Amino acid sequence: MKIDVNNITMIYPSGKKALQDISVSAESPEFIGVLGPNGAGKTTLMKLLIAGLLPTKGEILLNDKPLLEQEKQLKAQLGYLPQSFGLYDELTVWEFLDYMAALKGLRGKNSKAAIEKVLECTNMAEQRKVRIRNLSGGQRQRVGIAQALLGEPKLIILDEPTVGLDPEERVKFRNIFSEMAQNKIVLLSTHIVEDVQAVCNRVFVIYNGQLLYDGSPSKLVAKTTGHVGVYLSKLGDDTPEGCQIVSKVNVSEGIQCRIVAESLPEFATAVAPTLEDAYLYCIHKEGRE
Amino acid sequence: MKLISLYRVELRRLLLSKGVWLVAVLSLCAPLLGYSLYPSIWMESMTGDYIGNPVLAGTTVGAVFWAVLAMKESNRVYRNNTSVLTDAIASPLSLSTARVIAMMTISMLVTCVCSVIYLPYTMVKMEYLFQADFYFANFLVFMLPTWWISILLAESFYQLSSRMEIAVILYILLVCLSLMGVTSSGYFEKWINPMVIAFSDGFVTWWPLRMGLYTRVTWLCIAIGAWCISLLAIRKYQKGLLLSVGIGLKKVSVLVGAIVFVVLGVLLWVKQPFIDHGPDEWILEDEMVWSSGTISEAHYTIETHPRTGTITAKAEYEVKRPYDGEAELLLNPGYDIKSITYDGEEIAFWTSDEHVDGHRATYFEVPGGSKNGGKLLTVEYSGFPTLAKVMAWFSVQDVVDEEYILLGGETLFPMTEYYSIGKSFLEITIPDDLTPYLDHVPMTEYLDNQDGTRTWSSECSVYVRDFSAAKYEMATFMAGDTEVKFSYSEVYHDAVEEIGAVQAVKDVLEYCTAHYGKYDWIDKNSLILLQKGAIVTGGYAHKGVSTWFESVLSPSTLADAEKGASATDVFIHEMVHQWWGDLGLQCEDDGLWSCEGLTVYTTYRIAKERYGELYAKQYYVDQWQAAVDAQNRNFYNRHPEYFELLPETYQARIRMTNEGTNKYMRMPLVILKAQELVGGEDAMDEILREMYACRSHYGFNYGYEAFSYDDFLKFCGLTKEELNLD
Repeated sequence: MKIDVNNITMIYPSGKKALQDISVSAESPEFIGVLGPNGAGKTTLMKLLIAGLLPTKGEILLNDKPLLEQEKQLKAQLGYLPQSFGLYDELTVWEFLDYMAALKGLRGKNSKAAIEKVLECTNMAEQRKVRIRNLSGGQRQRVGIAQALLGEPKLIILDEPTVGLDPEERVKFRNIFSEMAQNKIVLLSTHIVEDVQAVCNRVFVIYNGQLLYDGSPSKLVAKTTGHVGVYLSKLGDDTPEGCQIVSKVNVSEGIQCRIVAESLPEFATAVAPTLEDAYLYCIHKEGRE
Repeated sequence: MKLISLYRVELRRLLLSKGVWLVAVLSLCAPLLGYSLYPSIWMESMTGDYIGNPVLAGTTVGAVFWAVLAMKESNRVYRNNTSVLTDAIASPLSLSTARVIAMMTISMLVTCVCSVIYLPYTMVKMEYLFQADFYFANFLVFMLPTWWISILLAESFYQLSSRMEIAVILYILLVCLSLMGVTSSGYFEKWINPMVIAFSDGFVTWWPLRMGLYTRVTWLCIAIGAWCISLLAIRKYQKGLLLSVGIGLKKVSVLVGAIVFVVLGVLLWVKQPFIDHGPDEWILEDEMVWSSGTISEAHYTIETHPRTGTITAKAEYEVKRPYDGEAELLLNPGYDIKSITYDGEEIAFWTSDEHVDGHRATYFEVPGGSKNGGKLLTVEYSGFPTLAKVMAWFSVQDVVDEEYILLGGETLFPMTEYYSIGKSFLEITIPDDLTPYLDHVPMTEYLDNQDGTRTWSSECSVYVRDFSAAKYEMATFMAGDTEVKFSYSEVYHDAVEEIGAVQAVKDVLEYCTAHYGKYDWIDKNSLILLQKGAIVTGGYAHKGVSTWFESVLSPSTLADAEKGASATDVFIHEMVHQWWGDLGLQCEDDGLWSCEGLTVYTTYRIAKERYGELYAKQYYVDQWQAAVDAQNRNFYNRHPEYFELLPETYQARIRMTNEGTNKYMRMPLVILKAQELVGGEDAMDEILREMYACRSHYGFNYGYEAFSYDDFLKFCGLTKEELNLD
């Protein structure tokens, strides 16, 4: 599968510019993490990719053909988990997945096997007969993930999939996503940079509707070398000019601040960057420009 | 994914929904309302009471339930945000289509279950009048299509507005339009509450079902069209209504479907064959036309086609002297004139859009006028008889059906005031199992066509008021010196035998003639008593003929204990009404005094003659006294101040019971007391004879005055106080 996004601009009727002239392409297998602050345009990009929105400008190609002409093919190969979604509360977990499996065209034994598989993956096997209205928030999220993974779709788009899950489950799921990405395109939008670092071979950084970075996480990290530092600060000290604080840690000598900056202040000691540092540096740099 | 797969998926999901099951159960209960709270058919018959009313109530109320379900199911997908998951893997248009079809499937299953659930009760209540095909046809014609229409319209409103509250308002407005009817063609607007004038028990006509089916198909087309339009408006790519429609228009098949169904629905509405399309206002022809044209003989040859409900006919006139100028022919507006020929040559004619006396006028001119006489004028016409607009709300006047034919006046053959007609002859072909009556007189001469039809012929009057044909049975007997022909639908054969109706008619005729005077409609010692179908309003009596309402032999009538001690006595009661009420002396109804009191009293007297004094006392006088005593003892009757405190429904129930007791029990007791005071039975008979002799003053005529209780007291020479029972 191949997706090409060519010079996409998306302006909502309210006038809000959600995406500006974005061009990316992806070909399976690929596990792409999409990073960006709230309102950056991540969800808009996802909706455009599932043909839930029409771009104001530009075009999206699926296997070299316009996406709108390929809607049927897209739907047949898509596993999608939106940020917020509803389920049929009166159905049991099994009935709901059975319904979604049928919508995806899975039948008979294939359907049952597929449902069993995603139930196991999402750790919902024991809740198969529980009505959805009786599930906790985390369990509902897992049902959402399960339906997205049903039938091994070739394109998986996950918008904040691990919201509401505990850390252990989050790690488990990111590993599952990683396994599933063997011969697929997986697009994972998340705020948790660690997840991206752990499993994605590629990362998009989006800020204010613009694509700031498209490449491997390691390259993003490498680009940040020399721009991340630490220093000891006291309570009430201002943030040094041109710097953005990544984290503050209370230590016995005071507060250890970790910063990113185009040029580090003299009192800061350069340290090896992480992906989170790199991401923040990327955003920080763009904000300054 | 193919639509059929989506349909299966949605069907399975809906069957798991509690809301669907709730609507199914409520819809199954809805017909119960038809038995008492929501009767639609105001002309009483067993078929109307036990089939028509429950089915129509279930149709209307159930349709609302299904609409609510349709809107709720559509709304929840968006409100709960489930659509973001489903729309990503299936087309919203296909999903919506599958959901609607699945809902319609479930409503169809519920209709089937409903018809089975009510079947045993209906069969038990209707006894021998139950007809399985008619019963199931009601569910299929009224209930199922109306539920479908309701689902489609509700779904359309939701899809167009994408807002539950707007969809509900639009739906309520359309329901109000149906319930109230705002145009002169209101019977067609009744999409949720189909109009049925009456169902007959013994003279079964499928006419109401034909019209019902036609209106259902019409509305179904409109609803499918509206739904197709709404499919185009399904919101896509988060666009608004207009942009979504713009995108949706690319679905050419849906667009074509919308146009086809809307156009078809409108055409069916505009071209409907049941009710006259003429203007609301008739031209009333009050000016007499000088019949300067002369026709020596008119021959009418009519062929009926019960399967299609149509006729083809030919009117042949031996014209002695043609009318000078344009002459007018009036025919039922549903008919088309195929040709008018004079002496074998076609002559020009034109049909007016205006309606003269409710009938369509056709004009023609005989070439040469009065100088070109002595030739044959032929008019060929055919079609489906339509109802006059003003009659459509309460009566079926003309119908051609397999078991019942009713035609009259301009629906039988053309009428004209431009020609005087010497003799008229009618030849009419009808199914061979029907017995025809021409102006209520049985026709006698026929030719068996050996094809399941017979051609009956008879001389007829210039204006035939009523031609009817049904599966009649006739009992001929002598009552005194009068030959009576008692005709009734063959459906009532067993009932007539069981209650001894023939003997009862004989006894009543003899008793009432001897005690009160000769029955008005006996002509030359002959009387035809003809039972008419419940679909026809009004009675008819003329020299030698008197018609009866169908309900006179209905099991529900014969079971009315207030009117008589047995079914036979009830039948006698109804027959006595020919003297007191119906077509005899008309009494004022003041809640106590009415024709019922007189009729019950006479029924008692006949019962006394038939079965003896003990029977009459036990089953009449004692029953009256017991009912009056119970009425007097009733707490609320003794304490009106508490009666006023009761809820309105309880007050109404007590009032109704009191009214029945007053008319059917108290008044006969009053007359019995009057009998004692005036000197016994013979003296009372003499008074009643005198009263009956005054019927021309108190009977039906222009400006008639009803015979009041005061009149009765004057005849008896008594006062109200003397007849006080308390």
